[in-house]
Amino acid sequence: MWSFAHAARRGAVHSDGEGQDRFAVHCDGDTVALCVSDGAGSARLGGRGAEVACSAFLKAFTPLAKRRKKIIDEEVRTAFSSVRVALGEEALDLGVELDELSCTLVGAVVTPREALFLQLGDGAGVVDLGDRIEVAIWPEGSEVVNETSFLTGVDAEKRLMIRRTKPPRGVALFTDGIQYLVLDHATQQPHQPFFETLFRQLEKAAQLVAPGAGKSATSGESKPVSQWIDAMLASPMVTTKTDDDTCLVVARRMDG
Amino acid sequence: MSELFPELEPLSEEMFLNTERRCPVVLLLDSSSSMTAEIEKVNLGLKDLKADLMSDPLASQRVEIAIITFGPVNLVHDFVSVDLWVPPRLRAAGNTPMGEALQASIKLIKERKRAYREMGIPYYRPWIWLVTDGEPTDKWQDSMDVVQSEVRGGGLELFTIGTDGANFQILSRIGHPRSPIRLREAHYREMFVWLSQSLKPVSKSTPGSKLELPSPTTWGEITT
Repeated sequence: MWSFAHAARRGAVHSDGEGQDRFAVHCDGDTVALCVSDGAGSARLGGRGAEVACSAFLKAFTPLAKRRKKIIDEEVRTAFSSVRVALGEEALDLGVELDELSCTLVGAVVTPREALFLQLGDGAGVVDLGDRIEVAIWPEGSEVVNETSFLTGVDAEKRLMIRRTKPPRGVALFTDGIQYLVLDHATQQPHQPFFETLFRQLEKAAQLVAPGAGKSATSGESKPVSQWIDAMLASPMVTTKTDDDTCLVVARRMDG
Repeated sequence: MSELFPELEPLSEEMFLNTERRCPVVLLLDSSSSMTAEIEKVNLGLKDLKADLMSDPLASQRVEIAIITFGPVNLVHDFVSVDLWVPPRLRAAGNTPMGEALQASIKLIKERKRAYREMGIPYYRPWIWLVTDGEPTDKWQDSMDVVQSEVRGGGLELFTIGTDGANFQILSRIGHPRSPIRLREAHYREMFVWLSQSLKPVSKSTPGSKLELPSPTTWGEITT
């Protein structure tokens, strides 16, 4: 059983329009698939691209998760290609260039067997392995800050990063908006106080919703924690340090 | 928030890092003797640059300025963030060793990048802002090759600005693919304000943002 929470906020940099970060999550028994996507600053329809990428991610990866078998790299690449195909179809439907839908993607699929992470561009994923919290997938390496790769790039398949960890107790994915606030770039480690607090909220909320009913009694979204994350992303503690859009999805296993 | 959900924990500043990001800029300024009449305008322009960047809290912390003058090549000061920068008073003297000055800028930028990497500080692509009123008096061709290979490799952004006496053919070769800008009637102050206005969005830009600069109409024309 998994409990999850999420929020996305528009940054000051997009104060005249809508934010371009999106997320999606699907939880089914002991498997969970989740992703975040950041529409490119230069792309007119980046937010739409991010939305299409997220729903295509769930469509492609949820069946792989449910199968409960080991997911091999080739299957990951095929499913990833289908996300790109969905963007291509959307561009055709809208009659726009594919570049207009440019966006990044960080996704994770967790089964009782393993956790699989994939990434194209920046944004990152962090896992709670029970005895430690570590970075599952670091933002894509680029020499300078304001450059990254996009799903719509011709070399996207080549640039896809795939990482695996043992089955985690918790997973958090986020876009680059809060990356400099929660990852220590000098040590390449997650900022422990942030992630410890984040994962703990889901645990606390679950206990409060079902007092005495056992931890496994709850699954699905924890609305109080989603609102807690939303308020956090809107707070000056975050907004004075970044003016970018922010987006965070977190999931935690409730039976272990 | 704690009123809404007394069960959940309040936020604390300790939960968040505030990773610095840096946007390094080398001002590569011709201070040869032919600049004598104009150098005070350059000095005022530097003060304007500081004042304008200071009006933006994020930019004033992220933009770092180093100044190299040439005639002869002199590192006036190494990189310093705008909030800690004291604009220097430059004096004009000597000839125009532009090639040597470019090499010195590239060396300075490479050293800075190495320091950023060692400290784990993410950075934006460095800028070189070259202003000259004449033509190089040294062997500039070798330096042009070095600069061009850096620009092509994405290691830096180079802007070349010349006054009427400058050799624009050489500037366009050095600055390729970006065309040199002809500074109109010693509008140095307007030029530095424009530089500030251009740096503010760049020092906060997010992935995928294109480098889109305003037209320099208040102080110059893009040569073609």
